[in-house]
Amino acid sequence: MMSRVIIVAILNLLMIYSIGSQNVITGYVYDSTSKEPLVGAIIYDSLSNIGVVTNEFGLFRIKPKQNSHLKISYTGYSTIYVREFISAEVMEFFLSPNSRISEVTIQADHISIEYKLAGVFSLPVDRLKSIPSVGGERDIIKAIAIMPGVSNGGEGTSTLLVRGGGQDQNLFVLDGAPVYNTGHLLNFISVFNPDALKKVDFYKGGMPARFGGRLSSVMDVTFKEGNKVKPSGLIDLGLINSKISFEGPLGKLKKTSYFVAARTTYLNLLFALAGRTPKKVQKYQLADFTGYNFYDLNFKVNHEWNQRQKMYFSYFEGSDQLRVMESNFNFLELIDRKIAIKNKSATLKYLHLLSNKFSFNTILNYTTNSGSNLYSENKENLLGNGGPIFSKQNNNRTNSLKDYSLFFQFDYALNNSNFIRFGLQNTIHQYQPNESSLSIQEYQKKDSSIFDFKQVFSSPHLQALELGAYVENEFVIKNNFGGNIGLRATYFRIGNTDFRGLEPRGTLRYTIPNVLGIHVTYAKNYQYNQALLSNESGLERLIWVPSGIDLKPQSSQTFSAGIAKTIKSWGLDLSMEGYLKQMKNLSQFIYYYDLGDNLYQNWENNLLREGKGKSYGLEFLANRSEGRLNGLISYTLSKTTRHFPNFNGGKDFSFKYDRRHNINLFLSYHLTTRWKLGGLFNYASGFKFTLPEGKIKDVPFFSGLNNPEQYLYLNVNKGIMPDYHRLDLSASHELKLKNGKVRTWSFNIYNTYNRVNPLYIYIQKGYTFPNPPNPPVVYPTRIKAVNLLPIFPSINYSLKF
Amino acid sequence: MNRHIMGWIVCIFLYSSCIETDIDYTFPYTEKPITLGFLDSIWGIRVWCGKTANILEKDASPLENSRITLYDKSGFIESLTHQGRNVFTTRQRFQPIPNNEYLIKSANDKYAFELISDFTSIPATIPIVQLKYRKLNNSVSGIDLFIEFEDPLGFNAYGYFIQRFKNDTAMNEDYRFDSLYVPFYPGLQNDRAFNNTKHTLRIENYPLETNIDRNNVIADSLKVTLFNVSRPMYDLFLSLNTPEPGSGDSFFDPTVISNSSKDGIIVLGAYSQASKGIRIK
Repeated sequence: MMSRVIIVAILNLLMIYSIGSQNVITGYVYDSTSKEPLVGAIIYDSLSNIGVVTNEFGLFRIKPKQNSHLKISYTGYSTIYVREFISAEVMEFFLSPNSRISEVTIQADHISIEYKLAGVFSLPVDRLKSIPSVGGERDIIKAIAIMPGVSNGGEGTSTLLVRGGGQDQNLFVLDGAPVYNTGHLLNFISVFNPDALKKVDFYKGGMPARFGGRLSSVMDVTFKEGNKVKPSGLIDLGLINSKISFEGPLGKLKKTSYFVAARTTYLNLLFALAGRTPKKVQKYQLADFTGYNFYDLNFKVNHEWNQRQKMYFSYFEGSDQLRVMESNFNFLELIDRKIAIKNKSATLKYLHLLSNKFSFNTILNYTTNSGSNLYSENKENLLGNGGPIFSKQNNNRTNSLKDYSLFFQFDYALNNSNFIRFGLQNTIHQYQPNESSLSIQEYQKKDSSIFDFKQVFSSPHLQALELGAYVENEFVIKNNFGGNIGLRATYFRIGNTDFRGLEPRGTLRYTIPNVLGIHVTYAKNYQYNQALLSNESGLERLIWVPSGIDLKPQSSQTFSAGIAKTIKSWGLDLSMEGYLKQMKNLSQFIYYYDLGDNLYQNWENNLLREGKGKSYGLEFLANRSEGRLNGLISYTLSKTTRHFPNFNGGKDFSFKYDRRHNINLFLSYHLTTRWKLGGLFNYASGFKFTLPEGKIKDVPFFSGLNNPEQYLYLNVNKGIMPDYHRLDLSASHELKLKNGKVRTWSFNIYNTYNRVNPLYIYIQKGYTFPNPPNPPVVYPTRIKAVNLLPIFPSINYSLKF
Repeated sequence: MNRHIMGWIVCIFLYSSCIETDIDYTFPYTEKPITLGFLDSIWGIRVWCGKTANILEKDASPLENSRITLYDKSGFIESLTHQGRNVFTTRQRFQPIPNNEYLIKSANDKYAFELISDFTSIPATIPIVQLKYRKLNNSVSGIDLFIEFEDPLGFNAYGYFIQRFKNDTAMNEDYRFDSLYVPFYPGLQNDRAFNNTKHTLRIENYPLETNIDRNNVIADSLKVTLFNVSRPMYDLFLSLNTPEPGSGDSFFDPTVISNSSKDGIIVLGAYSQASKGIRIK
């Protein structure tokens, strides 16, 4: 099977390479000051109305019409116009960053949305600075979540839910490498350091065939490559964490540049300054300690041999650790629990421009995601006969996933009307979903064991091969009609079980010039990696497991259609899209309560399987990405259900985050050249939850219990939380100092009017309190709401040098 | 920096969160009849009938004059007799036949429909292979108890009950106050984590000491009963045992009663039991 795929790919390659064509312009777009490639710059043919964007190397290809000129633009940079082309050479274009004044008065200058392909949204990284955030920490996942069809999970979290899909159905790609855990600090902050971002593309629904392995969305993140002219840096001090980054050229030839960024929290340092340290608990000077630490590190080296051969190496590492300690001096008892999540990835990417029309990328990647929950309990009983008795108990659980990937990607500009991509993606996954052990030891003297108990559970180590071959053609016919048609073939093998899938994808666009654009999209997706949602002491993480004999791959089909219109005089893009998404073979954990620590042992026995999901909705977006006043309004009307055989009485039930209405209003205003203001308002229907629909009382079978009444839970997710709404505000003041440094003060207020948006609600049972000789006092049953994040002001300081 | 200021900052960040407030929230409620029945080798069959109440109400009103009938695959067996407190049993001690499947029907003039349970049989008896214990050194009379047994293939769920003895005399236990009490209501565990293997249940910090006539008495032997519970009963107890919202781990979802229908709830559960004793030295 595989050999056939490879042969077909090579034949395609040779055939396409032999086709001749003329006048295709190939070029790079760079920042004129740092010589860094500009990713996502727009090259626009004024006659044909066709636009292309640069890739992560700043590379583009276009075949302009005769006598036309190219307009090359990038947000925050001056636009240039090019009339003369040398098609035989690879051209280089340099854009200058706008001065401060012009940045404020920048003119709307963009391709009409009617001509853009549906389904992709490129987040202007600069916009991140204006979007208010929790603790002042800018966050791309939260920024994406204000788009229609997208939402976060719980209050303040950086999980992503797209068109009714689960949080494991989104593919996060960082410089070509998958990222399996995307949250820091109980998921309040995403792992993507905002200071390191260069470009963020977000695909929902109609993702191109070159992306695969997830059902709902792709977030393709590119990090900075580094200033090729002079060293520079940035320090950012915040309330929760701080960041530092450096970049600059390496070597005299300035063909190599680097970028390094680090971020860490200092909660533990603040604890230490407040006199709370783990050591004090170990010495029984402190009864308990709760600490949290996270950090991430990004490192990227970019090298350019010449215009036709370039390479980068990118490394990412992130870690979270929650530590909870308790001590009891009376029993000399010490309990220590450490819960950790780690992510690492290293990627080597090589670009070779074989001709102006043909290039290929090779990506070599290693990614690992691991988690651990370590519990230890030490006791010393001084009252034991014959000397003190020591006891030790350890209860540890770990899980991991390792990926080794090799990707080949080929880009071919057949002509100005057809841009073809094809490639082969090979990944070896190594899973260890659970390895847990329990040991209890008691001894009086060394080597004199009184009691010894050991229990080890280890899920089998699993290895799987995942292959994906794709071809896609981005085409334009007579300027008005265009699209991206692709096919992805996938193969997944684990043990003696294998799965195959064909995933047709397509987006078709028809434009009525200066009126509107219409598009339809279809995508079929398979997902072989599935995730078990773990929640330990609130530290939520995904434990990745493979499809197999008893766990079929998830699949989805998404249909969408929409219209788009640009009001050029306002620089305003308007769009409306309807979608229908059907999901099959969904899985879900069951029976949480009784399993406790056993939840992940024999995890495959704890799943609901072969579930179906259905989501449909309407999405509206008005977006102005440029100008002194910019922002967006998004609205989503949607419904999402799930169905599992033999669960919930065989009835359909609402997805937990099935929110009927979701509205986001974001505005950014450049008050002066130094002051920038931002505001974000979110309104959403409450999420669904399972609530008691009645109770029984005084049943003799349960009479031995203290509680005489039992609540009855009859339907999954029948309850609806109160509506969610929140206003966040931000203001930043940027000042260029005399020494050339730029300092910025940022002020954020999260949940400005202190709305209580319940994380959960509970019932405080009423009771009667005897009050003789007066009548007894009756306290009625009350419904209580618990809110995680009330009003939360924060301040940040950054210095760019 | 001043230590107190830093402490204040930490408090603001970590502890100003999680505020609680009263809210006006309406729970959906429709009154429904509910019938719960259990098959076992000791009682035979016992059934309770009632109706649901709104969780905001103080009391649940009883459901009078229900009619309960027992069937097996071959047809009608008997109409059960009301024994008081809305509990019904057979006139004479009923002895369920192993592997035979039974169902109950519940009717009441208040409702125009009849509730019918699924067919259920008593699960296989699982003998206790070994009992072990270890004394806890931070407690005068606490032990960790280890119950070892062989789990058979297929779904099984276990509950246990421990009875304390002093000088071979049984000490008072909770369930003796009401003979209808199902003693393993909390603490059920299914076998998904150890299916078809030898397994040891660990009961942590079990107290040997109990209070009898205002005297603290420490048991010198234990009788452990291991219950094997049928799937419908396990599902029901798992749902009833869901921590109330806010009292348990708020991050988990409750399990729903799978046997509920639009009209009402009827569950016929079953369990087997096996016992073993151990001396505590």
